[in-house]
Amino acid sequence: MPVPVEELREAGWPEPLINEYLGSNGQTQPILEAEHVTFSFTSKPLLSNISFAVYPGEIFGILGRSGVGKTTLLNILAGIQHSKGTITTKTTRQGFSTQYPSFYPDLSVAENCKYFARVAGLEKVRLRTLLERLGLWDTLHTPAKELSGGMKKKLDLVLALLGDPELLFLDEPTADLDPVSRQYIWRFLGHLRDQGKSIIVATHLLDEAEPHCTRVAVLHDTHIAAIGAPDDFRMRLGMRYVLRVGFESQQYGALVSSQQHYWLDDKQVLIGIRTQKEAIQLLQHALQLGESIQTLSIEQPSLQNIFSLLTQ
Amino acid sequence: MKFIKATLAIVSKNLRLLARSKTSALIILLGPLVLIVLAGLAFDHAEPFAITLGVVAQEYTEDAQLFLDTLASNNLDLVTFEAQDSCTRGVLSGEVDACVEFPQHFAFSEKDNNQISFHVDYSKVNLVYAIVNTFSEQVDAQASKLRQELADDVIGAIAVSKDEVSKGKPLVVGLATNAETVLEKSRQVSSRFSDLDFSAPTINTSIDEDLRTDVQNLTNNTLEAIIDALTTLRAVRDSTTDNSTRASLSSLIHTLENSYDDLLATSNETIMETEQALNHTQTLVNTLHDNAQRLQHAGSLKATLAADLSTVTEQVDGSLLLALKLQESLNTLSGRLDAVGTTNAQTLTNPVQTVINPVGSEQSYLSYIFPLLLILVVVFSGLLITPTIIHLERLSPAHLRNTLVDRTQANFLATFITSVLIISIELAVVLGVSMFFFGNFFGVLPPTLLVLGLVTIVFVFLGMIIGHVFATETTAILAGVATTAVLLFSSNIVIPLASAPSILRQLLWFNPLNLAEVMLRTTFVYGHSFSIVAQEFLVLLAGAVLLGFLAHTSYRYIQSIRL
Repeated sequence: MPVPVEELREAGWPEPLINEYLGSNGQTQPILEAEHVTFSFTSKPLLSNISFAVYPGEIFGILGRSGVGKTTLLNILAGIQHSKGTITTKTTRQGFSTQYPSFYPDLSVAENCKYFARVAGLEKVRLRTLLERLGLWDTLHTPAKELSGGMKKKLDLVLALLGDPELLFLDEPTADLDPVSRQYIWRFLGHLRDQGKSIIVATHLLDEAEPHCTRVAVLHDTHIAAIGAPDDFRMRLGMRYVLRVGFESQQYGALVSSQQHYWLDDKQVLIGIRTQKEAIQLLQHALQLGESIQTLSIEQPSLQNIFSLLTQ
Repeated sequence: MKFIKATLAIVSKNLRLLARSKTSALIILLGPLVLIVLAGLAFDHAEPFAITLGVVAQEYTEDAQLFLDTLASNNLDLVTFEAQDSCTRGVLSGEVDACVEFPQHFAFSEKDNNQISFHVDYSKVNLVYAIVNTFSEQVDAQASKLRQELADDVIGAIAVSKDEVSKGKPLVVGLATNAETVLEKSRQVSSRFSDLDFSAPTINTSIDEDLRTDVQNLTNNTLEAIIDALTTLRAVRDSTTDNSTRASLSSLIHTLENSYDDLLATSNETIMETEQALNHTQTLVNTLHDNAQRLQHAGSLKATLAADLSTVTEQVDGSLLLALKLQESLNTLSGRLDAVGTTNAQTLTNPVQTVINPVGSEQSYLSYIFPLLLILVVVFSGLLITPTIIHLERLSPAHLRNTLVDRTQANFLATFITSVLIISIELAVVLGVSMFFFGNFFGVLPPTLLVLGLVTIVFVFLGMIIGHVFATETTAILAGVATTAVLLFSSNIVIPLASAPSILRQLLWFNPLNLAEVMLRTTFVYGHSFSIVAQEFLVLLAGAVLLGFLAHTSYRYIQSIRL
């Protein structure tokens, strides 16, 4: 189910990326296609009739709250978990990095790499290049359990990349990492994408995923609430600004009564604004509320804002 | 190739992980080490247990006293009781471990008085074996003596028979030879007898009258002719005038007359002689006639004699046949007696002289419990370590990545090889340490290793089934312990299988623990040939194949439902 080119252009995709997305001959060939995927634990459905496609050279984000089924969907796509529906992949060269690093803590970095390479039947592995690029070369003989959290994530990524996969599944790749490591990982994923690899990322860190994901699918209440590029969501929702207003108490009723898009975040209310004129009117209205307002800001709507709006 | 490399990588990883986990390494290596050292120190001696034995006997016969002396010399404490009831109460109260009761006239050699009764708490039934073991040498010696005496008698009788047969054989041969000769002669006599002709010509007894008449007639005719001639001559002479003629005729007549006289005289004599000759002839004829009559009688007797001779020939022929058969029987008997190679009563009473190379001190208890130790190492390792390895992998953070690689068969095989290797290491430790107690036992090692190898495979497969079927490590370990307990209690190790009902006993014979114990005891302790336990080995081999199939099936099933 390819995304129409017009839709991509409307979403603000640059032409080179659109061309890459379409392929050299201008035809769209998904590297992975999920159709009518349905999964349930006992009687409780977790995923219902989920369908989408992932194309070569894109970072595809699966977003959603904790427990919504992101990891399950990723496992189904990778073939780890059985489900109803059809998963079609065009390549057998696949890599997987789990939310919690999947290797043997008692083995060293080198032993883990060698073990998984042998078990996978890989003849030649550019291990040194991989380890150097991810900053693990100096820890070659260090037991994996002695690595820091960030290093463990990197080692897991190295293990996922051992077979030079064309399709990479990453489950919360930056969870529990410091901001520097997160940025490093995302940059590295961007580099992989530039090499033409397709990456499917399941994460709940929306703001972090936004600048790196070509497209995202928002999982909510067993189905995909929305799918597309982040800018495309903004366009569809017609939301150019977000007014963030902080109250001492929850006295925001008068402010949001006439608004179509608003959502709550602790003691703040976020209101989606379509036009500049609407923004000015709202600001005036807010200022009239007086001392009950603690903070007031106007900003670009983030993916997090859109996600909150979509899933409230 | 990739599959083998993957399998070896998994095995290497498993062993590396176990080696790096100090606790597991200690359990794997030190566990069996401690087990064998403790067992070795505890059981590597031939001293009897500290058993207090109650004794009840109405009469302390010589044999009973010999029995008790043997027990006492083996450091068993003996407590004498007056009556069986009080002795039994002693067992129940724990005063004595067991009670032994002798019949009134106890004697090893008397059928009705050689029964010794033990009274023992059933849980301590093994003590009876220990007690029996202490005096078995004495009993065996006594029994051997009795058997030897009996065997001496039997062998003596055989020897006499052999001698008599040897003596009788030439006689029978002579008898047969004689019969053959008689038969030959009878046949010759019969043949010659048939050639005899007893037919006699008919003799005319009237021949004498004609002869006499003929002689007389001839004489008379001759005389008459002479007379006629004389008459004629006289007539001629008378008619002749010539004197010379006359004289000649007269001379002739004279001569004739003389001749006539002579003839007449001679004829009379001849007649008389003829008469006599005829008489003699008559006599001869009569004699001949008598002889002819005798011959005719002999001829009539010949048929009867020929029939009798034929009967005699047949009888001799029959006798010869019997003699030959008797000779053949004697030859057979003689051959059988010659074939009896055992002419020594001791050899007869102990027909199988087995030389058992001692694997240590022959009477050491350790040698008897050592197979059990080996089996326990295999069983506990197989049923506990194998599920642990499976669940260690399942609980490992790397499990998901391994699942993604999808080396299903390699993982199954690697788990099997890892478990077998671990058990092999443990067995090597146990066997290595046991050499300290047993000395060199390389002679019995090949069949023992073969049996241990198969037993290891069986219990590793069983452990794999448990590991696959039970979802958590805890439940798998509990299942392993429970399975071990069931196998132990349904084997010959804890309770003698002989005490189980027939059908159950037949079923329990298939218990792998039982089969393993029998095979190891036979090959390791008794040093017997492997062929003796071939049946058990084949049954266990079939069990290994079945368990391997089940282990693989359970593995595939669990893989499919747990993805």
